[in-house]
Amino acid sequence: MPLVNYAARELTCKIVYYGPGRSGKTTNLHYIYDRVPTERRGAMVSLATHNERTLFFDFLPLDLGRISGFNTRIQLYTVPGQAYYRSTRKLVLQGADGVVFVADSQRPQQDENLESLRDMHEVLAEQGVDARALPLVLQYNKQDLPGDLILSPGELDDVLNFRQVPRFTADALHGVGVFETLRKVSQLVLQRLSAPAAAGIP
Amino acid sequence: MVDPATRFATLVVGAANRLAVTAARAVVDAPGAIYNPLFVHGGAGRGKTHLLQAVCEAVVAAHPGLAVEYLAMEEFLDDLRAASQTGRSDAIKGRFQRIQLLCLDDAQLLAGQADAQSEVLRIINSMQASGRQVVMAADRPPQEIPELDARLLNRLSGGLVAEIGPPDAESREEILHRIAQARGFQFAPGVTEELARSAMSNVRELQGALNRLFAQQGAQGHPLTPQDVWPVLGEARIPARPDEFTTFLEDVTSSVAASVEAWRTHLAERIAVWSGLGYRTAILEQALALDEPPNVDELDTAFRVVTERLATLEREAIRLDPSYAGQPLFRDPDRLQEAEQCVAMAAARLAPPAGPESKWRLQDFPRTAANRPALASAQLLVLHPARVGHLMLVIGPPRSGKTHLVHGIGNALKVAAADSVVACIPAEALAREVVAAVEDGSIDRWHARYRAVQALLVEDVQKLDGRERVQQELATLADALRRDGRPVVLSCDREVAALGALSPRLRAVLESGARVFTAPASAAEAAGRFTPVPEGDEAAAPNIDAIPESEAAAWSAGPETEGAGRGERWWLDREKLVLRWPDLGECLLEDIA
Repeated sequence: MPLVNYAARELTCKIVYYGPGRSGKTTNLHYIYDRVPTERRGAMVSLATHNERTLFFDFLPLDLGRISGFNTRIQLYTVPGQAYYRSTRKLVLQGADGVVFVADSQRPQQDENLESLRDMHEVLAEQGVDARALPLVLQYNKQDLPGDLILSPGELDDVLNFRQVPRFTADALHGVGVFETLRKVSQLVLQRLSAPAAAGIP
Repeated sequence: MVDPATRFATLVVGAANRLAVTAARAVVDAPGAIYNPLFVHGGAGRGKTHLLQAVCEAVVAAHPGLAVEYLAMEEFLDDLRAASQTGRSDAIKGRFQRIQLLCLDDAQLLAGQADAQSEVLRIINSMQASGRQVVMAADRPPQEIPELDARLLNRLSGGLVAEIGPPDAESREEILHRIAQARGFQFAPGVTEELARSAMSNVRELQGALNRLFAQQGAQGHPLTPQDVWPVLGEARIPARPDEFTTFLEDVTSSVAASVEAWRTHLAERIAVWSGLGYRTAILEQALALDEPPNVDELDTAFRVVTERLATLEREAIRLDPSYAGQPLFRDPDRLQEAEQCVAMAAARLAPPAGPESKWRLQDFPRTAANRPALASAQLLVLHPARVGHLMLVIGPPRSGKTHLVHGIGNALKVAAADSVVACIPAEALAREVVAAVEDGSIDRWHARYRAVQALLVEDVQKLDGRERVQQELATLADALRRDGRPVVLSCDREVAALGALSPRLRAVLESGARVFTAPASAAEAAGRFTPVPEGDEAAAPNIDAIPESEAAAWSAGPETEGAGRGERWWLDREKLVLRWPDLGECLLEDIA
């Protein structure tokens, strides 16, 4: 649930980009970073190896200013995709208000996608989070690659989108689908604030 | 001056202004009752003035006769300055005394104006104290108005402060569509949509751009296309085409407005509904001022439960006493306990009047020769209690059986109509009740209590001698009951003419009644022979315990029976009974005279 401090009139959301290694999570954040006015963004923290692999996590805070009387902040995180950074992923996913699952559309990456999606559900389950209640958006990245190298959105849907959540095709490197994905996940996260549970109804 | 075009109907409502509009509508429904003062704020061209003028227009329409004033702060400051310079400050003070709704626009101009702030504070205090409504608008919230007096800030923040944000793309499109429609502008599909995609948040700016597009379209002689929009408006006027982040920010803004404070809008809507139903909503308004969202549905449910209880109490109170109808007490959930106590007290106060003593039965009434006509009349009254204008006056000396006859009639009426309320009361007790009711201001309830009875029996009316108010009340009550076909039986130890100080009205009532007489039993009758052997004409008399239906029907047909060939009826003793029932109209004329 997004953190709302009614006394201080502050609203903070945490959105995590999840997915297999090299699927384009950090690329998403870089694209966003480049298009956010300087006064609206904090420093992007990125801990990467010498070959640009995310070692720990990326963090991009966005300050959206005062909206409806609330100082609104969105924190964007990515997790390291490689399988052996599971504990880091678990740490980053903690307290997430919404998740963008960035899938690699390349055919050979299908198993990686599935494994990562399963891993995400396991991590959420370990944290006692009902994955069905958590806002989730799928992003099928690298759809700009030649058709014979990638799976079509329909094929990816069959494998990954069994919950029929919103999904976007993307070319994160060139920004296609990046803001659309962010907009949708933000919308889902904020909508939860007006859900009965947010109004104090048990 | 209120522009008649600025109505609620022409206001585009979106996520950015929903709370402000909802609150304004609540003010229209019940000016002064909730959100007082209502303070709306937002940037230029967001529709604050439109909203204020819409409130004025709607209040005038909904509450004709209510004095309403819309005033721009600049005008107010000018007036204040002029009044101060001419030494007529009192004129300003008096100006707002009769205003029921004051809408003050551009409140930010109060910044640094100490004198004006004092005057506004005084006006708000005065209007609030007398339940009059103040609505204000500014381009910023009260706490951001520089050098604002702390007391005024406190007062302005004490009502409801609602923000009007920039219109989202959807609202901009609707605004442009309405402007075009109102002005008869025709554009090719996509033109207004293209303009709506701009980042303009000022309605006046949008309006200006639309005017220019229409002018250009007229000049070039063919319709503009969406691609023409920005070249026509000119590079300098083109708002930066929204980039990805701006568009994203707009979407997030709409989502936050619709979600984060949705409870406030929801609660404000519920307040407006309850207020529209006439209930005081102070409890809900307090919740509206909370920093953290309460459980709105739970609050609303609790409020509904209380209002349902109040409605039940009100129905019960009105049943007991119609004068309770419309009492504010039953529209204020804060006063539920008070309403409960009020109804409980009313029920106790309005308990049915005392009835006849059961030991006196009509069938046990001594059937002496002297009492026989009185008994027969009593039998007929019991048989036909609904006869309009029925009043019986039982006249007899002490110990002649008046009490027995009166109570006996009462008991017989109760037996004849189960669950009927029959009041049987000595005149002295009646007088005490009336005096007490007059003294504690509950005479209306006393009326309601007695007007609910099916029959009224009052003993010893001679004891009302000199009790003018009581006589008046008894006469009024007797008239009301008789008009409704409910019998009235009064007893007296002497003829009406022999009564002392008697109000003309009660005298008319008594004289209009059928007089029956009771007499003490003779020695022989007292010895047990209450039913003497009939002699002469009396031998042919019918059994008074079984009056034929035909006789009863004839009796009930109308007051005038004499001269109808029924003079042979033994109980129609001309010396004992008044057979000619005076016309009610005559009585009325006599009363007026």
